[in-house]
Amino acid sequence: MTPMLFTLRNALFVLAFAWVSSVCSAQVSSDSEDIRVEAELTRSSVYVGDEVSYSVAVYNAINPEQPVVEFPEGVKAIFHGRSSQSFTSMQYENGRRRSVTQRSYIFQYTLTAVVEGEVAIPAPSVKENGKVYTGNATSFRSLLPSESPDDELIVNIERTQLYLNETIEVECEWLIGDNTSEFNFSSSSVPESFQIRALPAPGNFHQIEFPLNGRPIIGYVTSQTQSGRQLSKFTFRFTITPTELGTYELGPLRTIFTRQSGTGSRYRAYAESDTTTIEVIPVPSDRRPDEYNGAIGEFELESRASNSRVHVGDPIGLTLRIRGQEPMTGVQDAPDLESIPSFAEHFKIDSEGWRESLPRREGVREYSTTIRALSDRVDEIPAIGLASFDPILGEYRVYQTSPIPLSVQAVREVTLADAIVSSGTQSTQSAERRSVEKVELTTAAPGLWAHGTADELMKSDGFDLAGTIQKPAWIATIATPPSLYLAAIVIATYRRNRDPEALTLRRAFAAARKYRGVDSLQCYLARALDINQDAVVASDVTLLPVDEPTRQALHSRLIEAEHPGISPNADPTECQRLLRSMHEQCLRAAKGGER
Amino acid sequence: MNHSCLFRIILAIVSISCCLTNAQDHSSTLTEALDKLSLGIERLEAQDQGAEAIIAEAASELANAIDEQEVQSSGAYHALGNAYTLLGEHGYAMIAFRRGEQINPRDPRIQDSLSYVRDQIQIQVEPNIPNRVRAALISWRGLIPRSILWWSFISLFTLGWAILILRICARQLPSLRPLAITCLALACIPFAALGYEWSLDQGKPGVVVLYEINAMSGPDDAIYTPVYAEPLSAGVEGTLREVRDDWARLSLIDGTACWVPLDAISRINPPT
Repeated sequence: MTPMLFTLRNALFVLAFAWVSSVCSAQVSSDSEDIRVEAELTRSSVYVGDEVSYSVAVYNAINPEQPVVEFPEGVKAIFHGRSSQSFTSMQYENGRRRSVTQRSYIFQYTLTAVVEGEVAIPAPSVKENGKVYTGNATSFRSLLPSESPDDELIVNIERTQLYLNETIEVECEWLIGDNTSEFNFSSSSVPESFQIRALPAPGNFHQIEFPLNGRPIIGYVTSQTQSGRQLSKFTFRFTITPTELGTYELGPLRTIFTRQSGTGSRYRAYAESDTTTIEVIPVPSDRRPDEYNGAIGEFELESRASNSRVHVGDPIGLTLRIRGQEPMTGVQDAPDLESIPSFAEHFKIDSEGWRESLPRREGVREYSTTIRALSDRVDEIPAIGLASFDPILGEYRVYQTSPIPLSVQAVREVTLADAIVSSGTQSTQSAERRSVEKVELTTAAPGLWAHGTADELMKSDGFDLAGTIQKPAWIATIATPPSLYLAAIVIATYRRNRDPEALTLRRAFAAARKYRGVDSLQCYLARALDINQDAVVASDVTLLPVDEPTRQALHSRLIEAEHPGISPNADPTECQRLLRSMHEQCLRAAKGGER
Repeated sequence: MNHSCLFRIILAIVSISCCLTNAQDHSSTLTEALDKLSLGIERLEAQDQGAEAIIAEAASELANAIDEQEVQSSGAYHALGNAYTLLGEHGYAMIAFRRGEQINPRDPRIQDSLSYVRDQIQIQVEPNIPNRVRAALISWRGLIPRSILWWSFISLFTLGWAILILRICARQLPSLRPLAITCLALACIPFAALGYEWSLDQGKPGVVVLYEINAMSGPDDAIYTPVYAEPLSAGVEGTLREVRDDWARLSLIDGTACWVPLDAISRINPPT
C-alpha cells in the first residue's frame, strides 16, 4: 500500500509541476512579444536622382518615436509620416477569453541618391518607453546612366562674388535633344547654405513644376533653332541666397531623364551643367549706419495712418509696409520707433511695439502699431527709415517712407487717454500709483475626470428606450389605456343595444337625419311609432312623450306640411332643432321607463 | 420534508451562491482593472517609463470586463476612455466616450472628456447644414433627462386615453374629446424626441482609430486618388455608409465622403 501511495503522490507532483510550467510558459510567451524593427527598401538599384521607398516597420510597440537613421551624405531623405496597422484577435488563456491587438507602425521615407555607387543605409534605431530597438541595415545601388551628347544644360548667373544674404537670380536653360520624359534635377549639387526660391515663369508658355533641392521650381518650354535643328528649350529661374561666408561650388545642375529615340527605344540618360564657383563675402563695415540690421537689397517702404485729424492722446493706427525681394533677410521686424528721435519726442508709442500682419505675402512685410500724439504742436508723422546694403552699388542706403501730415488739436478735459500718454512725461512730478496686474477670469477648458469605483461602474445609469419598450411592465402600461378604451366602447355599445325602445328611437333618429325639413320629423315619427311614413299626421305628435312647447311646435310644422298652401317651405334649421329636442325627450322618457 | 424537496432547496442555494460569486467576480475584475489604471496614472505622473504598459493592460482588462459582463454604465466607458486617452489612442477613446454618451448623455464626465478628446484631434471637420439640424434636434439630450421625457410621454398618453374613456362613461361632457386629442398629440413630442435620438444611435456612427489614414476617393489606394490633402487622424468621427471588400465608405459631418481601409475605423455600436 505504501509504495502505491508514494507512486500516486509522485504522479500528482509531476502533474502539478507540468501544469505550473505550462502556465508560466504561456505567461512568458504572451509577455515576450518583443518589439521588432524591420527596415525595407522597395528597390535594390536605381538611377541617380530616381526615388526609392524606404520604410521602417516597428512591431508590437505602443507609441514608438520616429526612427533615428543616419542617412549617408549621398542620399536625400524625405520623411512622409507614420501610419499604423492593427490586427485584433481573440485568444483563450487559462479558459478566459481576451482580445489581443497586434499593432505595427510604419515610418515611410523617400530616398534619392545624388551620387553614384553603393548606398549603405545604417540600421535604424527606434525609441519606445526609453528603450532603444535597432533594426537591420539595408543598401541599394545607385547607377548613373549614360550622358546624352544631344542635350546641353547652361547655368547663367550675373555675378559670382556675392555678399552674405544677398539674393541673386540664376537662370538655367536645358536644350533638349529629342523626345524626353520623366526628368528630375534631384542629383543637382547646390550648397546647403544656399537658400533657393522659385521665380515665376511667363504665363504664355507650357509650364512644368519640379523639385530642386527640395523646393518647387517652375520651368517653361520654348523652341529654339540650333545648328539648323529645331530644339525644345526648358528654362527655369530661381534665386539663391547664401547664408554662410566662404567659397562654394554651385552645380553641376544635373538632369536625369528618359529619352525616347526615333527608333522607339527608351533609355535613361543625363545632362549636366558646368560648375560655377561662388565666393560669399561679408557686407563692408565701412560707413555702416547704426540702425543697420542686416537688410540687403532694394526695398520700398510705405506708411499709412488710420486718421490724420486727432486730439492729443487719441490713438493713431500706424501701418508700415515693406516690399523687397524674398527672403528679405534682415527684415525680421519693422524699425524700432523708440530709436527714432522724432517719434520718441512727439509720440507715445504702444509698449507692445509692432505687430506683424499675418499671413505674409510674397515679398511684403506689413506691420502695425498704435501711436498717440503728445502735444498739439505735432504736425506730421515722421518718416520711417530702413538701412540696407545695396550689393550692386556696394554701399549702404536708407529707404524711407514719406511723412504723413497730421492735424492735432488740444484737449480741454483730461481724459484717460491723456493720463496714459502723460504718465511717462510727468512721472517725476506726481507719485506713481502702482497696482497689481489684473487677470480676467476665464472658464477652464474641459479635461479628463477621475474614474469612479468598481461599484459605481457596475451600476447601470441612463435610459435605454429600446430596452424599456421591450419590458413587459412597460408594454402592459402602454397597452392598457387603449385596451380599456376599447372595452368601454364595447360595454357602452352593449348597454345601448340592450334597450330595444331606445334602440328603435336611435335608429329612427339616424334615419330621420337623412331627410331635411318636415320630412325628417315625419320619418322620425313613423319609425318611433312604427307606422307608415305617408300615414303620419299632426295628431300623432300627442303619442310622443315630449313637453308641451315641443309638441305645439311639432304639431304646427306637421299641419303646415299637410296644408302646403299655408307655408310650403318650413325652416330646415328649426326642423333639425325640433328633431333633436324630440329625440332627446323621447330617449329620456324611454330610459326613465326602463328605470 | 421528502428527498425531492430537500434536493430542490439545495439546488436553489447552490444556484444563488453561484450567482453571487459571479457578481463578486465581475466586481473584482473591474476593481483590479481600475486599480491597475490608477497605478498607471500614478506612474505616469511620476514619469515612470512603464506607465503606459500598465495603462494599456488596464484598458484591455476594462474592455474585456465591459464586453463579458455587459456593463451598461457611462462610468465604465468613461474609465475606459480615460485609459485610451492617456495612451494617446484618441480613436478608441472617442469610441468609449461616445458609447458612454449614448448611455447617459447628461454625465458631465462624459461631456467634458468628449470635448477634451475632440480638442486633441488635429483634423477639424465643420458640420454641414443637415448635420447641424440633426445636432439641434437632439440638443435637448444634455439638458433634459430621458426619464423625464419618458414619464411625460407615459403621463400624457395615459391621460389622453383616460379622458376618452371618461367621455364614453359620462356622455354629458362633450368637450373632452379635444382635450384627449391634445394630450395624445403632446405625448407624441417626447416620444418622437426619444425615438429620433435612438434612431441616430442605431445608424452606423464610426470613428477613425488608426493614425494618419489616407482617405481615398474609391475603395483602392492603388487606383483612386486621396480625397483630402491631409491624412485623417485617429478620432475623426463619421458615419459608415458602405463596406466593400476591405474598404469602408465613411461620411464625415461636413457632408464629404471618402473610402478608408476597414480596419482603420471602428463602429461605435458594433453589430452583435
